[in-house]
Amino acid sequence: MNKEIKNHPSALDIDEIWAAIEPQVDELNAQRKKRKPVFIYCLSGLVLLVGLGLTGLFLFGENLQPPEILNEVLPESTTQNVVPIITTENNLLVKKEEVPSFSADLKTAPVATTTSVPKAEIEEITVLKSTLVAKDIIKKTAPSSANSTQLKSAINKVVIPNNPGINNSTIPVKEEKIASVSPLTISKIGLTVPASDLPELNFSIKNNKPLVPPPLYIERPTFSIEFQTGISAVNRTLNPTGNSPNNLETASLRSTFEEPLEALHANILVNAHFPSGFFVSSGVGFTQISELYNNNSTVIDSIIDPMGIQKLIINITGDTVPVIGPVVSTRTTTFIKKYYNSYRMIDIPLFVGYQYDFGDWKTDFSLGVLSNILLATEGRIPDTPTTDLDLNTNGDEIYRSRVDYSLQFGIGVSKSLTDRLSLRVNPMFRYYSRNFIKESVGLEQQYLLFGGTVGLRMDL
Amino acid sequence: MLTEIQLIKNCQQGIKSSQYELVRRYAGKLLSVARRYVSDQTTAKDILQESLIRIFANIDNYQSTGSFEGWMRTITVRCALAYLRKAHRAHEVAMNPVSSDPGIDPSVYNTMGMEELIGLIQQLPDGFRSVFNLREIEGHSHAEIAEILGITESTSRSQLTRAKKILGKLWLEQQSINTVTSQKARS
Repeated sequence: MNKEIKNHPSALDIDEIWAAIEPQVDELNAQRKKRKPVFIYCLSGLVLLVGLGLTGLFLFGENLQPPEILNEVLPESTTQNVVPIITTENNLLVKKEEVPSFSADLKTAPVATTTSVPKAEIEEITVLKSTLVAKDIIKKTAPSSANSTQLKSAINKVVIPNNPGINNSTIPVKEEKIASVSPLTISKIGLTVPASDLPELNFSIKNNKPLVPPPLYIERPTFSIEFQTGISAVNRTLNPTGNSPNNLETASLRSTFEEPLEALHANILVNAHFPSGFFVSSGVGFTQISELYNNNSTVIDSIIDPMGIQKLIINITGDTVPVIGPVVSTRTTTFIKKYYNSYRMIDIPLFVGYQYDFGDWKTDFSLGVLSNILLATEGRIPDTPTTDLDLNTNGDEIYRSRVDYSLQFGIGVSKSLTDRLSLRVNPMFRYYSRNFIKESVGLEQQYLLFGGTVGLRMDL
Repeated sequence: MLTEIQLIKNCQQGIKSSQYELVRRYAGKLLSVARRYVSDQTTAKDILQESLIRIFANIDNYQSTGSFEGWMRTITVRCALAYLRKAHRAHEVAMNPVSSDPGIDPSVYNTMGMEELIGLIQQLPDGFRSVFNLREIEGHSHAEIAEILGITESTSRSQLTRAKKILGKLWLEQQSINTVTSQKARS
């Protein structure tokens, strides 16, 4: 009994109920639509903020210079004499007894009795896996007159800390600036140089202060900003998703009367160029696909007029008597309709590419994904042979609010105009593989765009 | 034809044609719910409209784990009870005199038409009707009914007993009317 009474529907006039609640439902829908743009603005703002933050970090963050690696390859067997510096928690300490070993590799030089190097003085020395690292700020190097050629090339690049405790008086030195030297190189240097060939080195290390490890090496990119605008030819596919006759008819109608025109593009991209030639681009893109709904057709149908003159009777007295009643008439309607429809999209592109440098000229190719965050429609589309659907009011019921993503492949050619400014032409094709139309409508609308953009790129 | 899931999704996106479809599919059943809680058809329709508005306003919060129809039914019941509370009827009926006539065998309900049964339920005093519906149709416990209606559990039990008795009496009256009518028709 429970189930039956629960599922028992009462008879009612649906249209009456709907008419009563429709204004309030419209109000609710309007509130819903207001919420949607707020979400999109927040998302766009967040993406922009993160992009700007990352750009700022790279532009104004710590200046990380890649170390220069010495080319000389020295015998591996010598590495055993390299002195490790012991780590204590997160800091690195130079131990008293280890320092002589280091100097002994260069030459068995007397070592002062002080224990370790003040942080400020040895900030270029650190440990990576039991090897020494000397980094940045060259101080003084061995003379070029050293006997061994290996010593000559190596010692010129060895970094010796600017330590007041080092007695440099015995070494004829010259000033030279070298960015840094790799741990491996140092270890090799120390072991390949015969002790007799080395100049005498006396230095002392004071205090016992932590060494700070150097920042990790990052291949630093250069950045550019690019403003692009372009145009593409449009190839549209529109098919029904099922075998429903209604969907087939709608697809056929739309294919008959609608004609894709062109797509316009406008993009703002931030590019990160790596020394290796690879680059990554991201930003914001706007695309508008235009179509023409052109209906020049004639429709002939039958209509029933409930109060028409069925026939006229001339009676015996000669009077004309009309017989009034339902009349079936043939109606011929000629449509001349022309509407320009547009599908506007905002995308967040992410391209990865490779650039070849030929001096003033550069060429590149790129592949990327454009994440769509907004699709807005405008215009009219045919619904039946005689009626249309207004996309401005009913667009949300037919088209999706986002088209997930599209794929793009492009080839770019750029020419430097000034030191920082270049002109770039970018032929490309873009494929919208995802359906623009909602699943429930029963149609599938996709696009393939082929065109190009022209842009100005400015190095930052 | 849209599946229930598609219909819900579309309604969550505010698609009007789907909202109309939802009303077309479920309004009849929801009206039956409302009719079981109030005695007149006009009030039941008002409750139905209020329920539909609440359904559309809160459809974003619907968790697809439970029955959608059950969720809508709950909203309608709440609307009906809110209406009854507002009308201060729930408290008045507890004092209505009730005859001590015996109730009817529950199996009798199975022989009745649903419209007939709803008609009888509508004749119950408001408070008894609410308790009867919540217990016998919706399947709530007396503790839950007590919480929903703001009464004690014992009141809920006694009102249910009385509701059944009244319903039995109404049914007997209905039967006798039917018998007389059929005799008249035969003669």
